[in-house]
Amino acid sequence: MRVQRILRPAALLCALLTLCTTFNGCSSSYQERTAFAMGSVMTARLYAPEDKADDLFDRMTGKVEEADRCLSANDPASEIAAVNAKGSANAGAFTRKTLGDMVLLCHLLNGTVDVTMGAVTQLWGFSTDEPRKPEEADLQAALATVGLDRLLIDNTNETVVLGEGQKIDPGAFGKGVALDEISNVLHTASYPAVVSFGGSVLLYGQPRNGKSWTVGVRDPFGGENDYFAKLSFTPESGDYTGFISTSGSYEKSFTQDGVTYHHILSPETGYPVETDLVSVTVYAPGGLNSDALSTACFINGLNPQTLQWLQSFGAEAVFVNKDKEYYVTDGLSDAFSLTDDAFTPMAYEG
Amino acid sequence: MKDRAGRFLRPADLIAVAAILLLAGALWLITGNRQGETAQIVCDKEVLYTIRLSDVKEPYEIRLNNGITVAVEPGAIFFASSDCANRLCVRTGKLTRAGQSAACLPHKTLIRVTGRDKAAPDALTG
Amino acid sequence: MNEKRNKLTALTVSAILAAAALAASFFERTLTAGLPLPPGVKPGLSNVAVMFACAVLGLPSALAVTAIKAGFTLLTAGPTAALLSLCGGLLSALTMFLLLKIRKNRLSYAGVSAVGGVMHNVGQLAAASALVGSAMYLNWLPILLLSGVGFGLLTGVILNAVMPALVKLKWFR
Repeated sequence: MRVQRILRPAALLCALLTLCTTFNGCSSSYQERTAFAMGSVMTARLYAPEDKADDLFDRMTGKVEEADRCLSANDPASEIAAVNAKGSANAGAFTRKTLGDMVLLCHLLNGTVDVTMGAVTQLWGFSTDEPRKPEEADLQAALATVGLDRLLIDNTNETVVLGEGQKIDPGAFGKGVALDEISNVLHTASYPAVVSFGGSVLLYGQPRNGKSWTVGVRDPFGGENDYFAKLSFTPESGDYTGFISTSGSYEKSFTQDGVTYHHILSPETGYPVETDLVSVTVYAPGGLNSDALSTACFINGLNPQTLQWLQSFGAEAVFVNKDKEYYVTDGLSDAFSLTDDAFTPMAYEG
Repeated sequence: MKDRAGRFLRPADLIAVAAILLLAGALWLITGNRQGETAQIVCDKEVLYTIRLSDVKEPYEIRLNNGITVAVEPGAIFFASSDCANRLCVRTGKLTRAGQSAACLPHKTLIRVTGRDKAAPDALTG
Repeated sequence: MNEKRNKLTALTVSAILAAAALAASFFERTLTAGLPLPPGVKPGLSNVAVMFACAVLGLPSALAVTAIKAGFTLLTAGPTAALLSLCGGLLSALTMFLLLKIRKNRLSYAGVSAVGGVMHNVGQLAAASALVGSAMYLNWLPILLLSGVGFGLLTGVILNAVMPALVKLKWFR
């Protein structure tokens, strides 16, 4: 009798314990870490214990620095810089593989973005302190070097060979590649995390307590910290990975002789692309894809072909035009919520 | 044992609770209501300063040794000046709400405001 | 014979109390997951188990329950949280035991529990401040004192309510 009296509540407690374990929602908050890489700020919110977060962040920045050492067009010591300087140079496996991915992506996007635009972007100098409008003759000469078919990635001799005067500019892809590398690191540790890298965002894992990740979409007409809408994502699994990238004409621009030039250059004309759009935000399952797609969608504009691209990559997008009108693709409409009433829906029937 | 279980709240309880409440009140008055936003100044990977913005009574400036001056005001922090070329950081303006940040890339310096703002998104894209 | 049996019962009951404490904290986390409680503010339902241990089984048992709870925090929330839990828990258990034994019959369970709740928060905060090496967290003290009293009274009332039933089980003698 006495034994039963003890056993019965004990059994009950064990059952309760198991039940509660399944609802386990540890409410410890995140560790925030910051680093500077690829000419941008990288901020990570890691939902991990402090010591684990330090180790994880070190590994993340290590991967980013490694990628930067291969791909940076600005760092004279990088492999891509050597290729650009000599027209042909040795390139390690990572550089060749990543460059190959970029070229393939450019082909799939009909050359709307082009990784061989380096000579043109160099003339405009948007990544320097003194961007300027190039002379027409110089621009045409630079434009003549652009072309994916003149770039050779030689895996046998482990070299990359460029066409005459051709230069590689991985600018539209770099942060995406870095976020892909970071997501690989996060996969090995499986702590939930939010990483923003110069305006591109990586969401990893499930937020605590069944909440959603929320990402503010920058207000193209406001300041750096202003957003006009929020995207919320509620992951269904612990290894969820989502990438969000934005291309906006407000990012880098300068005014010369009364004309404002923004930094998103058309590979066709060599000039800033003329469009009604002011920003395109892309949500995709891959970092490289989301980064390249946001640029390609901005350049190509909102049309059936652009929407077709998004669909074929399993991506979704938010388009914003000069009149403060927005268009959200179907797959993202549930995630999208407007926070600034000055913006109105765009009259576009996809 | 039984008498203790039987009676709820004795005079001694009330005295103890009152004493603790009094202590809490006194501490509250001394420390003030300090639940505001916290600002951080990060240089490279290191957090150099952590400032409770609601504690700031008088505006002051922090001169970093890399040519940047950060201004702190009651409830706000911002880049006052920088010797870098584009001075984008100064143009970002005042940060007042949790989740806001401004960066000077040439000097690898970041200021940000953290706090418990439920409405603030986890990240910004743009 | 009787004494040996009492020892065995004490051990068993301690184990059950530890399990109850863990279940209570889990239950509490699920319960308060959606509530906008300030950091560090929580009901501390597992205090009921610790206090029962203090009152009936003695100090070693109460400390053991506290340590097991901290050990479990180590597994679920990491070393920092576990250290905070241990510091708060030990200070709280010690205070409650002293109040129950030395100043016998002056405070009711609710009063002891309220002081215990406060000491738990004080211990945690002190540990957190020591860990960070600054007194920054001490600004939080007034809020934690208030929540400690409030929730301490609550857990005291709960123990008050279940005590007659537990006494009826006649585990001892």
